[in-house]
Amino acid sequence: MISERGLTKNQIIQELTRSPHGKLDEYVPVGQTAQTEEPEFFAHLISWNGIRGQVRDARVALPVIALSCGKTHSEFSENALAHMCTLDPRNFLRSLRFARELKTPEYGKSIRRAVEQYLWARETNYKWWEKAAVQHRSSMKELYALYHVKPAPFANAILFLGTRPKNSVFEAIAELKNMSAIEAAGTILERKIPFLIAIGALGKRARESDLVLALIERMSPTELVTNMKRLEKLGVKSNPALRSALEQSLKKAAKSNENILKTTVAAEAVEDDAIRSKLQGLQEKQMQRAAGIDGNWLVLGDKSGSMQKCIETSRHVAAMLAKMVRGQVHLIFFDIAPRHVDATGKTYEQLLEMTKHVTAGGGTSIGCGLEWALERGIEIDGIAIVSDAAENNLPLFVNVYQFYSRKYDKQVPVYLYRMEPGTRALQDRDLAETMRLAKFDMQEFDLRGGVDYYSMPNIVATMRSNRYSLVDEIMATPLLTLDKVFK
Amino acid sequence: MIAKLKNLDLERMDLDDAVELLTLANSLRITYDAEQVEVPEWLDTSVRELKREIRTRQQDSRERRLKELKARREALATTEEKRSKIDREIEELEKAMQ
Repeated sequence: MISERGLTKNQIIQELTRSPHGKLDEYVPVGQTAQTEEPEFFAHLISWNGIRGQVRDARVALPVIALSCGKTHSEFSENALAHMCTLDPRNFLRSLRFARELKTPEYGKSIRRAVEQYLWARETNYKWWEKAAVQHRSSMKELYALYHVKPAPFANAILFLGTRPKNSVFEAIAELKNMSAIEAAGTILERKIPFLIAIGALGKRARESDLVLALIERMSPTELVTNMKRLEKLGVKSNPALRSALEQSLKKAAKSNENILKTTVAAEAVEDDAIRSKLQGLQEKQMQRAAGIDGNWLVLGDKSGSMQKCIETSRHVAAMLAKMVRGQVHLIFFDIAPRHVDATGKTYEQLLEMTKHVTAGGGTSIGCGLEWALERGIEIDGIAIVSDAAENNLPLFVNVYQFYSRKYDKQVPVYLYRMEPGTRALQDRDLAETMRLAKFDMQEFDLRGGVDYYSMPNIVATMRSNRYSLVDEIMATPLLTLDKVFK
Repeated sequence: MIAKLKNLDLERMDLDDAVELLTLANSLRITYDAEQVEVPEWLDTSVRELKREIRTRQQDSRERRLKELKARREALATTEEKRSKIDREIEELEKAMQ
């Protein structure tokens, strides 16, 4: 049940930050609840995710889920269909298969019409159709076949009869393997042949440095990041032209909305320190772009007994916030006493160095961290607590928070990153319970199943200094229509 | 920014970042000179390293652009031009074999 306190909206948003790695049905339980209980919010969430979302699977799954819960308002169903139609052919096909699996009996005809419009819109704009056919040949074929859409004569010839019109990009791709390296590189650049298609056509020749240069240019930001290990072996560090191509492409990637997760994964995979450094630089820029979180933030990291994982997670949260916020970030480790670190502008590596001697041990007073800020007159706009939420020493967080709120005449948002519980004592009091009893709102991210550092930037990016500002932002995102997609 | 200047990580930054830092470094240097305060060694080192890095990246960029343009030119060559190129190569090889 979605309450008026907005807590479950946050759970829904948090679901989007997870990466189910292709298992679309993991979105179903929360998605169908959201669609049933608050279809308007879910419709805007689909739109918001379409623009700001970091996880491709969510863009595929959510619109389908919106159509799977029976008849809904036509604006919402059109929004869902329209978002499906913004997907590339491969993912559009995925969404259609998912729709068949989930069953959307009220929208069977609408989906079919959307597929027809999807294909015909491309046919009437040859360059658009060509791009889709080059990059997603088999998906395009399947779309025509699965929905019995009659292809235009040229589409039929190219996709189904294997024709390669003279001087077309299809002919050029087939000829790549017969060209000299320089000519093939030039053809890839001139014809804007996608990276994966070019690699497939070139085979082992793709290692030649003239070709590597062209391939780097044609990589999408995600492809660049996920192929970094391969590029490392191909000499991007030592070859000046390749070095420059890599830098150009990283600069483009920094401006894209592509997945920060993949950059994190890639940075861990490469062996070369210089290339890892470049990827970390890219990740910082992506995080800065991903969220402009206002205000000054406090990260309270539990370092009491058996909370070693909290210490590490706190560093990550503080480092990410340091990239994303416009103000200051204060990291305070606590057991029964606070230990402050100014995390403003610091990287994770810097914070690790500064806090390397912080170890877990002692009792738990979450309130002491906030009390430290109170005593120093530090005004903050948001609090992130990384803890198992079990307090057993004074001051309790809720009491200090009450005092803080009165002093500054505002209730700053509080986010709890709930970690795996440590050893419990009888006198332990759960933070969420004490906050609830005091009628203070607190948003919770459940990390008890384990911390996925790769999706952590997505979670951190959803925090706001205004309790409802993310929900407001979502509701303000306009719904999409099929006309807008196909104009 | 001063921290970044003191602990230069050239790999982490792009060309714009390097230029921005160099601007800061130069302006710091000017201030030190104007106030007749001894310029710290780290500042001179940072200025030198940044200038070298910017020059290297500019050179790399020219090399990349030249290769790209040559590749594009090759791809756009007409049949006549390709034939002429092959003919020239045949001529050179025949001369070398005499």
